Amino acid sequence: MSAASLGTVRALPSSTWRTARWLVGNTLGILAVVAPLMLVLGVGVAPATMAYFGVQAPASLWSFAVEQAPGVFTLVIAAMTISQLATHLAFGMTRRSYAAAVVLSVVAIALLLALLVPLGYVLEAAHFRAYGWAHEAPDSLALALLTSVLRTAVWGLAGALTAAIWYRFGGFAGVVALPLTAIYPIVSAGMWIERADALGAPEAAMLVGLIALLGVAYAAVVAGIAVRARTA
Amino acid sequence: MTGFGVELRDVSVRFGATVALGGVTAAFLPGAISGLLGRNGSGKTTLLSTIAAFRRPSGGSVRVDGEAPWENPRVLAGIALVREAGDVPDVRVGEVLRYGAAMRSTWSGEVAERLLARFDLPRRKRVEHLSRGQRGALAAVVGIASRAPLTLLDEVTLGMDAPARYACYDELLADYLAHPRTVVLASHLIEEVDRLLEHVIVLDRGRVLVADEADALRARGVRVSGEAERVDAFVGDARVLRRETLGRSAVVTLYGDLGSDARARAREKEIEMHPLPLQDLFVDLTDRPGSADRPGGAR
Amino acid sequence: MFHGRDPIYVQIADRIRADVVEGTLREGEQVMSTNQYAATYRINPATAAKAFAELVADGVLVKQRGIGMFVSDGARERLLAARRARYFDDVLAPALTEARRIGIDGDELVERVRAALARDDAAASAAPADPVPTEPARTEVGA
Repeated sequence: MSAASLGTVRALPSSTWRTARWLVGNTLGILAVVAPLMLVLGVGVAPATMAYFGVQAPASLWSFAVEQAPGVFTLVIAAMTISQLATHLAFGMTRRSYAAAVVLSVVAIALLLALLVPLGYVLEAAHFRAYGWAHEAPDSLALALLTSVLRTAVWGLAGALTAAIWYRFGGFAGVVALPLTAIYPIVSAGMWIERADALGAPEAAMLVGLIALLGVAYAAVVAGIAVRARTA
Repeated sequence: MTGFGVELRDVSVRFGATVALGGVTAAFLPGAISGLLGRNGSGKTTLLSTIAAFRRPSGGSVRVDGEAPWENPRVLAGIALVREAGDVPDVRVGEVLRYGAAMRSTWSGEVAERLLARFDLPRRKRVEHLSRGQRGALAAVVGIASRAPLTLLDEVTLGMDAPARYACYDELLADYLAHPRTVVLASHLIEEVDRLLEHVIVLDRGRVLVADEADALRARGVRVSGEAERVDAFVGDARVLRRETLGRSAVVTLYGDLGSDARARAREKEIEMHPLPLQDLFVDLTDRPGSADRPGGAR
Repeated sequence: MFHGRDPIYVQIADRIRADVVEGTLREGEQVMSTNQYAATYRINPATAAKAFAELVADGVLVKQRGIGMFVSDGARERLLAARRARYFDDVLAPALTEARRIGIDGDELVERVRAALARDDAAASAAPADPVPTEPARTEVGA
């Protein structure tokens, strides 16, 4: 009713979609620095250093590089998004749409980072060939990409959840929740995943379930957050 | 009528043992500019945070445009709560405006650009590098350009210098005249916002002390002076806020209706009557000697 | 702009009345709209509206739906009459009370008033006709 009298009212896409786009957009700048850096260090500098010292590299260095790095990066990014909740509410949107947007943006960032995985293996294979080393890449690069998406999303949501618990329940609860950030290493150890870059179907299903669980828990914690007063 | 109205019934907010709001029943009228006045720690911020669903009340009910605002997408889309330093993304000033345009269907890019120029805000500077006054100005830009049916401004002008504050009031009024909406101005700079207000709610220690039309409030606060005995007889049982004596004469500040024949009676008894400016009335209403430390800090 | 003593709407109404009496606003002339008034004087439009409502009730302004507010016919004369009626209570009575209080006797007062009126009459006949006739008030005081 009243909105009509306030002048032009534009139809906007859902606030979840708009916010997710904003969150991912804000990360693009730092991604543009981090992604090439990972490639240069993991595929370029690391093998070159080993070759310089005359050390024979294992079958793949890249498989180590991509095992945890994208996850830890996403964890930090996702944990920091909690500072945007007050802004989101101040611009007239719900906690629900915020939680959904954060989950969506974590998956999107995980996907962007996962695109590096096959690219890295291809470049690494070429680099290893130059030294005459044997190189071993996963049988299916597509599966490696999917594995990376799931793994990174678990890391990211664990970070978002821990930060939300800290924000809602205070510092002590935040410290207690800290082990949550290590949920991927804990779970993957329990699953006896031998090759972390190529999951079987049961493990993938478990990770998908874990992502859903973390997402729901995150939404539940965010749903009850009272925005703190500023101490400015 | 345009804009969202607000109805509060017995709203309370507790932080542990601290009572920030102790049963507030009040209304902000749709389409009006209302003042939410109170000393620091009186509960203004808590009340606005509750209306904007920044937090849930411990008890009572909040209705905005007839519905509970908590996690209500339609109602929330019409509310803009602007706190002193502003809740804006920590990006460049120009990008804050893009965020506003992306997130608010009622956003006016035109107004935002004009105000940015008027407050001389550096478009390329990051929000975290702005001075306090500039952050306040940016918050005001966001608050006005949002054109939300319910615009809640919580001490937005606090960090600004006087010219910026008056520019802010002028721009708010001008845009309000062009696009009427419900505005709540929380402030303790009453003298400055006085002329903008149609309705006033005074909070004191988490309770509503006075809620009235601004003009009625101005008419009710009266300072009466004259010969002490005559003044006391004239005042009768009206609510006396302050009484000072100087020799045989007395100056009494009171709040309430003295009746339509008050002027005639005053003249007869050689008593002088002056209406009280809102600021003075506020000070007298909320001042309690020895009440310097009070429960419930700003939350 | 506005002083803090009276409610702003009272001050606005008083100013418009003064403008009508002094001829700055002529009968039949349109006055500013509520919003124009609010924007010009930087006040809440409801406050301006309240002043206009009071003036309409007093017959100083007439509202023409969809067009605006106009100074009503005979407004100036009505305002002058009301002012004259109040003159004795609001202006003369306190002056006399004060005179009594400080011991000016009645004869001296009357003497002074006559002298002042004579001086004004002489000045008026020397100068061109006064656009604002104030004779009725004078004759009543003099009588």
